[in-house]
Amino acid sequence: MRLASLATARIGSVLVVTVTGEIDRSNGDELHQTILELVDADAGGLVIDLSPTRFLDSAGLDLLFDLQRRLRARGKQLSLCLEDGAMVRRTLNVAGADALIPCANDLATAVALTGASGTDQ
Amino acid sequence: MAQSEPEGPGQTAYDELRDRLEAAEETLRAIRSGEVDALVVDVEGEGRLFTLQGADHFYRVLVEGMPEGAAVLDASGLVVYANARLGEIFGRPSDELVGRPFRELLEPELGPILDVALAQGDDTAIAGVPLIVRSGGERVPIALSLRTLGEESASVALIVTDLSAIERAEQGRRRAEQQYEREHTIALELQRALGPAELPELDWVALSGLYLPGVIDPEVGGDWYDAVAVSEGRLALVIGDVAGRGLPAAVNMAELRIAVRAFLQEGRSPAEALGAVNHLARVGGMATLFCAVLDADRRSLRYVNAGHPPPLILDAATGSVTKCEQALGPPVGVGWHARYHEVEVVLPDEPTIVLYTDGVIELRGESLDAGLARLTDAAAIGVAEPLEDLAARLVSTAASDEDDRAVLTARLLTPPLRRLMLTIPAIPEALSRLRGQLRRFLLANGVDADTAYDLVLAASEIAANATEHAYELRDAQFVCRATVADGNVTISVRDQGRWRAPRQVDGRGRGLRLVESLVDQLDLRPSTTGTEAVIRRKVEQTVR
Repeated sequence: MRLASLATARIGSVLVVTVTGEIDRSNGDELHQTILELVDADAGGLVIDLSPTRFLDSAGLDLLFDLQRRLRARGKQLSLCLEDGAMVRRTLNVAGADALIPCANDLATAVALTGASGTDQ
Repeated sequence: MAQSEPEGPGQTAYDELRDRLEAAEETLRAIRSGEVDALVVDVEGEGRLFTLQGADHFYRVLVEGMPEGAAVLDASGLVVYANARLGEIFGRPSDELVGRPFRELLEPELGPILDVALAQGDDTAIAGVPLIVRSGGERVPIALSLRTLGEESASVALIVTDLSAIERAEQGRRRAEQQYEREHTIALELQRALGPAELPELDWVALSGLYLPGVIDPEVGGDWYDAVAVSEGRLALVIGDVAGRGLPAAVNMAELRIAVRAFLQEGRSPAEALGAVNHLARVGGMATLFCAVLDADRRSLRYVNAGHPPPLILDAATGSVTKCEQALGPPVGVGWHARYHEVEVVLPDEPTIVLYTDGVIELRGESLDAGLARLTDAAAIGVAEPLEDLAARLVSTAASDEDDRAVLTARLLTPPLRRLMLTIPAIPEALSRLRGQLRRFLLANGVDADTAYDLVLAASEIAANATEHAYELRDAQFVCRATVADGNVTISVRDQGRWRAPRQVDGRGRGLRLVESLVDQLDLRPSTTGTEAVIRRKVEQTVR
């Protein structure tokens, strides 16, 4: 049984990766690698959709901060999509991550927060 | 014999005596064989004729063979006839009695009573007040009845009943009765003391037992059940059925029960306890036995079955009924060579365990499977009922009330636990399981969902550290304990590895900082055998 599964979509130039399940120490590194491979040079920005994510631990935070650092190095932005009441929001909140990484309640806002074009050029 | 023959008058007297004896013997033989109806008895030098008027051959044969003493007296009270049995009662040959006054045979003080009886004549019975007669120095109680045989002869027939024999028989009967009463009482007492066990009251498991004795056979059977708290959060459940009935079965049952209890309380596992009991079991003291330990922390049942019908595990959440069909061994008391092994099964979410004896499912002329099917059907219907109702429902499925029926039910309570203990492989892949168990535990104890998430996250972080400590150890495990008490949740994770300072490389020290933000208190207790991390947080529990 896989702890988490990924789904990807493109909205304009923005890559959206939806994580269903749990992110923890056991799968954090693997998820990290997979997402990095998904983010190709064409991507204008990245949205990690945590709406269906049930659990996120410090390994998940590591993953998010590392993605943000790498994207910034390429002049791109990471944003998160999850509702205010979502459980994993608590992890972000306690670690102060939601102040460091832009968060939105819905996907359209999250895409907009990457600063990249959400429409095909 | 080298005696010289006596001469002179002595010789004459001897011959006369011998003749008389021979005559008497011949007379007696004749009477006994029914050849004569009358005889002459020499009384005070005169020959007197006595007839056995109206008596025919068959009657005399009958009289000789009857178990009472019988005699015929003449009007003056002399014995003119006595049967063999009368001789036995008086301790001398019956022909010696003939020609003697009957009253001489009695104790002197009984003379007047005999006189009254003789004077009254017809149909007098002296019974109820036993008369005492002498029999070779021994005093024998008798009852006496008389009947006048006819005016012509003025003779009296007399029946003597030896009461000592009747009394002995009566005493024997009374003793046997008392013995049975005593055994029955002891057996009932034993069963009362040992049968419907006083079940322990625990906050994590509800228990209900029912024992109904068989109605056909009033003797006690050998069924019993028992619930024994063996340690904190562990309860042993036992049910057994000793072969046979009555006191021997009850005693055997008591011995087995006490032995099983003792071994379990010593800390032996079910299979170990059964093995030990099997060595103690007396020859021929065969019993079927199911023995299990219910573990609150592991939410499991560890069991062994010595030839007993399979107990059931019900799940109120799904309505499922499963049988404990593994770990089957021979009944105890069949052979020393018997080996028992046990299994541990994980219990469903809302489990009720049902133990029972064969009387519940057994019906003559029917297969056990049919009775078992009736029981499982009833269990599926009553799965969510209060335990007492469920136990009553299950017992009532018995198709016959001939045999003893015993049912013991145990239900793990929800919220089931104030304490949780998990032993988990020290690998990151096991963290998810830990979180699931912990979250259910916290929610079941009324901790709100947000706080539960925080605590599960914190515990997961320290457990993740534990997996790192154990990185170099093969098959390492860690133990997570959680308690909810007095408004505090305490969770500890103990590992077998050596504490390492959190690696700052790639930000992994973040975990512990996260934990510190999530809980009120974090203690790290490194020791030579491992590290224990303890977190504590105040909670508001909602009453469920």
